[in-house]
Amino acid sequence: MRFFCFHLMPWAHLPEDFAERYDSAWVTCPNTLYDPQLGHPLYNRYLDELELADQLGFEGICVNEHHQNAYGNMPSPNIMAACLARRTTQAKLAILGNVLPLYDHPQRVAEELAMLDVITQGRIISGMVVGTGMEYFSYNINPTYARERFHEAHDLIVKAWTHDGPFAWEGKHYRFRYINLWPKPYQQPHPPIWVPGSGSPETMEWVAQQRYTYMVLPTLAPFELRRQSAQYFRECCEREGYTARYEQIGWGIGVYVAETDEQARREYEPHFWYYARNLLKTPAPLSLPPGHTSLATMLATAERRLRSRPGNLSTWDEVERGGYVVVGSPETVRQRLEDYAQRVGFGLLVANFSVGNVPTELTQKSMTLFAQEVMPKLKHVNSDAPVVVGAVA
Amino acid sequence: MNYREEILTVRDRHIRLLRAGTGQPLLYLHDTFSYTWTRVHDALAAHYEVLFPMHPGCAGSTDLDDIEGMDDLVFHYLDVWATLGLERPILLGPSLGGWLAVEWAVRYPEMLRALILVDAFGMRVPEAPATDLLRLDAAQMRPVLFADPNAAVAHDLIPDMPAPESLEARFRARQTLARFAWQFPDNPKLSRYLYRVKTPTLIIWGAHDGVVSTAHAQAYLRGIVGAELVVLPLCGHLPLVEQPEACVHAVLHYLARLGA
Repeated sequence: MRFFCFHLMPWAHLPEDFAERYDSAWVTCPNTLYDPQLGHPLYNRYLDELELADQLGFEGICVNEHHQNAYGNMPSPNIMAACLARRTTQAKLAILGNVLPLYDHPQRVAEELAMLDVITQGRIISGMVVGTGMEYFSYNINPTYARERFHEAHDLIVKAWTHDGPFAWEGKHYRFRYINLWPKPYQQPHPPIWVPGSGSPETMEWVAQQRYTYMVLPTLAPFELRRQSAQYFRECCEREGYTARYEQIGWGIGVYVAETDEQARREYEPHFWYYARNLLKTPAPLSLPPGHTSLATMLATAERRLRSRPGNLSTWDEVERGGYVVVGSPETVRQRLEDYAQRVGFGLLVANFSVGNVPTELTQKSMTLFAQEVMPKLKHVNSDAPVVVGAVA
Repeated sequence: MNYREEILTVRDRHIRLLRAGTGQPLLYLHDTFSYTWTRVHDALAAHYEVLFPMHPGCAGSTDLDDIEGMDDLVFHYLDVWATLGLERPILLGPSLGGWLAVEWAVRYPEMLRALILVDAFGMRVPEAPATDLLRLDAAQMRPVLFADPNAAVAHDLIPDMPAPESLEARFRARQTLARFAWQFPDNPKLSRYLYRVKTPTLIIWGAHDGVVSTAHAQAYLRGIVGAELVVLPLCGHLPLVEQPEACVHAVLHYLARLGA
């Protein structure tokens, strides 16, 4: 098992009555609720937490991209990675995503990641995502082109990383006479590509074709639904003629560790509800704009999502039984994660320790307990055999 | 409801076509909320040959694929018309269909007998911006689309819990709306070219349209020489659905006066 520490950098200062007064934490959530005076310590505290993960021995730390929302305050994940690049020494920096379809100049993404990769001597992991439906409202990107733009931007970026320039790009959504990347990435042929997703079959099929890593996002969804996603991804890999490696499946999950089960729940639960009730508040039309997923996926998810949305969660018992998050003593957390790992077959654990408005002391305590008491006991689980170069099948 | 249904092959696309009546051809360019044959079409078919094709992307027709904007859609309809081989049509278009009719009329006005725009998209009116329909759920959408959001017809068309068998057609219609009208259901350049519409034009508008207000009707009226405007009281964005009798009356009366 490989361990990554994920952060959402949520806005922690929403008013108590947010859920009653506002219909969305995204797109239209008034930014009068944002206070830069409070934002300054919050950003720096979050960055401290990711730096702590580096010191604690996590293999990597993860940032991501969302726009115009209270859920995650990283409109530019590359800026966050840049902040971390020279303050960390060991950890890989997994940038989950860039939201490729939002950008009219994908070579900017290729350039920034190459810069970071060279600065960090090859510690960059490049996440590429289609992005939530909400981002298409915020950036006025026609969602009926989401998939086309994603694929074309990906192709352009990988070609820019791997081919000598200058070359011309003649595509449908992108057209450039001169693509000529300065700098080129440090890692050869290019930084590893992970694709985080929330279960759209068409994404998983494509990731399996490309042999990239698929990461089941830590979006609040019951364990079983997310297990089925991972299972489908594995089937896609089989259809492509190979068996997925453990580390080709990332498992995002909210984790909280305290001294005892009882204490863990007491410390975590109020902040969990801040997250579930406030930060995830999204009207369905914003999260499902037409074309953002295929028609088949739209039809399949329309009903399923209605049943399993975290907005419908009301008791801690449901949260526990559904396996939405893993919370407890080091031993409980180890058992649950080992059980999940065996049932899902993931070899990358992408753990989110900072939920909602949890205080930093608790986040740091939880991360430390996890690194010291859980990680060593899970290391052996779902480890891939080393890749043998030149072996005869 | 006495209409025939056929599949029209237009170049490499398959288009579902509903048709009835005899007389001069009237091409109905549908919107993305109501895309079925109604008694409005029956009433028109008593006087005209009504042709009601489904847009690419919508139920029964092939996908949008490479139709990326209004110019592509106009070319598609030129091909539809060439395939049908009929004489100059009267165009009748509500909402998105009205916008399409205008985009056709500014390009090839000589092809058309008359233009009837019903609460048409297409105009950019900065002081009265169109509503972003695609961010609204059903309960928010009904008062925007209808003067009386509690009427049965409003709940029939925009239900809180759509019948599962209607979902695919609904998703397809929404996708078509998004393709052409994502965030801004207009063509900012269209007003520049309205002078090219030499076709007799009737504009019908719901007084309570919450999507494109009567300011948009006024913009069309100012831009199209000789156009006439009928504003229907107690009516929202979809007059053909909410005030069908008044609409049919206005259309037939106007066309009779034209001698069409």
